[in-house]
Order: sequence, then structure tokens, then C-alpha cells
Amino acid sequence: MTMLAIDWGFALLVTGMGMGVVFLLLIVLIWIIGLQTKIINGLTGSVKSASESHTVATTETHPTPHEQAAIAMAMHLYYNAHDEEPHVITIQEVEKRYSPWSSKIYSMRNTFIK
Amino acid sequence: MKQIKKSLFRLTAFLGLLITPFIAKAQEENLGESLSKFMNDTGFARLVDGNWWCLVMIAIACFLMYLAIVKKFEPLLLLPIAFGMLLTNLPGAGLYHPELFEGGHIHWPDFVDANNVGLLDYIYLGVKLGIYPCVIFIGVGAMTDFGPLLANPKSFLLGAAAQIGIFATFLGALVLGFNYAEAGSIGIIGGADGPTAIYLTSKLAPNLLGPIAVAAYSYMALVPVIQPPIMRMLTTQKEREIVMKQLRKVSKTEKIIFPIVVTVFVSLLLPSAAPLIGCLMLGNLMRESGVVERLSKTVQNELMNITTIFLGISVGATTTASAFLNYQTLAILVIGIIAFSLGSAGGVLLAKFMNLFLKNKINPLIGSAGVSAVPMAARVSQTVGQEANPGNFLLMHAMGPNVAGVIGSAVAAGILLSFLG
Repeated sequence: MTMLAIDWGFALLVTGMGMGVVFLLLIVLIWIIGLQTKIINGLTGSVKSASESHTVATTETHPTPHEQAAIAMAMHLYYNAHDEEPHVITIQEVEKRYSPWSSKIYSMRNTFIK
Repeated sequence: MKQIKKSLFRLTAFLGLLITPFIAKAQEENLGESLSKFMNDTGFARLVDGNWWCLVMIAIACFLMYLAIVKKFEPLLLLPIAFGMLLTNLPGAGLYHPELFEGGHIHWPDFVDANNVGLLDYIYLGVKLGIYPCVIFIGVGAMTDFGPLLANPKSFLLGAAAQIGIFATFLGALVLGFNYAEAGSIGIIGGADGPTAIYLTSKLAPNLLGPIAVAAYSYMALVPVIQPPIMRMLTTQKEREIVMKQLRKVSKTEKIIFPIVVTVFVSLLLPSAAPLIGCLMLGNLMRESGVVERLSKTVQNELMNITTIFLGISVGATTTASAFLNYQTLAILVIGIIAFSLGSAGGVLLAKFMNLFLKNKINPLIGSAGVSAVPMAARVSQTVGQEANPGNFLLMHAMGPNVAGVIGSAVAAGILLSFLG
């Protein structure tokens, strides 16, 4: 009964149109980004195609992209490992604060006042 | 001085002794009545008086707090949600009144009488008016680097394919007896985007806000559990080993122009998606422009954290026993996981399909990152990829579809809103 009560024409329209619009919109964005890259590269005087010129540029960097990725991964694992460490209390320097218990004024070793 | 204090004390004691019989006499008649009224007003009495289901909700709230604190399942949101759930289900506390928002509308005249309005009612207005999800999106935008997406725009397609979970689940929810608006709200769980799910549900089916938010955030926390089996099932060992070409460097100018172009284009084509996309891109422009460092830091930290607290508590507040303990919640939890799985599978399958035509093959594992659980889905791609090939670094490649998924799910929400709203 539930199946019959649904206007499947409308439901399929929403589904089809929905997926269609999502794809269409994002495909147009791909095109826009491509165009934007070309224009920017044109303005900055790059003759080579964006992908070619940038591939060369990135492989020449030091550390190499693969090394960068390895460093990033190592850092990620390192910090994750830190999160799981037990909270061991270590010796910590603390600033000395005034307290009547530690005050020199009330010390027993003060000189006797006549 | 001591003498004065002593005299004052004696005087007070004398006066106290003098007036005590009068007070006792006055109260004697009403004492029994007052005690009885007090006892009946306590939450314990209300629990006994047919509100036992509140105990079930309190138990569920405690379980969610356990998941957040001990298991660390999206604690930033699950903890406030769980506590909001606890507060709203305390009998007699009167912190949240669903009747003020009955029928999907805010009953403003009832807000005049402050005695009938609870604290959570005021906080919930931010959800109802669609403020919190948009503010959170500003923070998300400020924390997102669209560089990997700009370097490899094909990632947009993977982000789009992962949205198939939303629309497939929409149909599934209709079959299970939900109406169009409710089905659309349930479907958005497949987008794996919490603020978008809350935004759309608060507009289309506010009665389901609690279960949908809980399902969305629970499944987002379970990304590392849900996705890997699907990814392994749909790919071969050889495909998982594919090493992708290094991404090109993206200039600052490109990164600055991108949010402006996307906002204008998407908002003109789909005005209903403008609030989400606009806020996301505003945050990103703050980050990339580099001229408003203070604002960028504020939206990434303070503003986002404050809004997260309010959003979590108010979403938790909607999970009253009557709204949560029913067949619909169970159905939402089941359909939600299907939505999530379908979204992940959609991205992987499209990546495989694209490989049929591409010269530089893409690793299909990055397709599953098209669901917008940032950055967890991308991390899962990286982990599963490294299982197959320890020298493979897919993280940055997977971030492309991942952030494309954020845009994709916001667009999908806009479409559902314009069709079903």
C-alpha cells in the first residue's frame, strides 16, 4: 500500500534531477577551474601548459614531494601516538607563589625582637 | 570589638527564640500540603508517574556519552548532543518544549511568557533559523584547503558520485513509509556532512532532527569501520596499489579566486544552496586571502567551538522520548548506514569507471573519500592504500574528492530543499 501511495514519477524526477544537477554543476566547476588556471597562467606569463610546468617545478623542490608526504605521514602518526600515551606526571617547574605557610615573616627562625 | 560581636549574637539568638513559635504555628497548617506539593514536584515523582521512558532516554544519553568519552566517537559533537539529550529528558526540568516548534514553525507568541520557555528553547532557535550550521560552515571553510581539488579538478566527479547515496536513500526511505520531506532529510545522512544534514532536516523535517543528527554523527565517527570493507570488496589488489602522479602546485591567486567563483556560480544556479556554499566559501576566502588572519583564526576556533556547543546541546534537546523511541528512529539508523555505504561505493565505482578512459590512472580508493567526512574519509583512503602498497601516499590525492564532497553534499541539500521545501 505504501509503495502504491508514493508518486514514483515525482520521486524518480527528484532523484534523477538531483544527481543530474550535482554532476552538471560540478562538471561546470571543473571547466571553470580549468579556465581560471589557464587565464592566471596566461597573465603570469607562463607559456607551458599548467600541468607540465608545475610537474617540473614540484619534482625539483627539496625535500621532494614524496619526502614531504613521508614527513607528513610520520608527523601524523607521531601525534596520534602521543594522543594515546598515558598521562605520566613529570617533574615540572612551578613559579613560587606567596603563602603564609612558606612566608619568611612567620618563620620560626626570625631574629628575636626585643 | 569582641564584646560588640558577643552582644549582637545574643540579641539575634533572643529574637530567633522569640519569633519561632509564631512561624511554627503559621506553617503547621500548610506543612503537610507543602511537603506533598514538593514531593509531587520532584522529578522522581514524575518518573514514577508514567514517565518511565525518560529513564530509557537517560540510559541512551549515558551510552552516547560513553561512546564520546571512552571510545572518542566524534566527541566534540556527540558529547554536547548526549548531554542535551540528558537535560531534555529530565522530568519536570522544563528545559525544552517541543510544542513551541510544533508543525515546523516557531510559535513566537508563546515565547512572550518566559515561564513557559526553557533555556534550550532559546538555544534551539539557532538551529530552527538555520544559523548554527551556516556558522559552522564558515569555520569548516576556514579550515579547508581546496588546493588538492584545484590541482586535480577531476576529483569533483568523485565528490559528485559519492552523493548517489543521498538520492538512493531518498528512494529507500520513501519505500519504508516516510513522506518526501522526511525521506530527503534521511537521505542527506549519505552525504556524511553533519551541518548540512542538520540544516536540511531543520528545514524539511524538524521532527526527525534528533535521530538524523545522532545517526549522521555516529556514522561519521564510524567511517574507519564502515568504509574499508566496502573499498576492499570493490577493488582488486592491483587497483589498490596504483601510485598516483604528484599533484601540481596551486598558486595563491587560484585559491583566492576559487571561493568567489564557486559562490557566484552555485548561488546563481541553485539559490537554495547559497547559505551553505556562501558561508563555506566565506570562511575559505578568509583563510586564503591572508589579510584577515584574526578573523580566520576566530572562525576556526572560538566561533566554531561556541557554535558547536550550542548546536550539539540543542540537537540533543530535540531527542525527547516521544520523538526518539519509535520505529522511525530505528529505520533511520538502518537506512543511514546504507546511505553511507552507497555513497562510499559510488565514489569507488566511478573512479574505476574513469580509469577506463584515463591515461594517468587514479587509485579507486580515493573515490570513497567523496563522502564529505573531512578529513577522516581521506585518512581511510590513505590507510587502506598503504596496506596494499606501503610506499603509496594517497592522503593529499584523497583530500580532493573529500572537499569536493563537502561542496557536493551542500549542492545536493540545496536541490532537495528546492524540490521538497
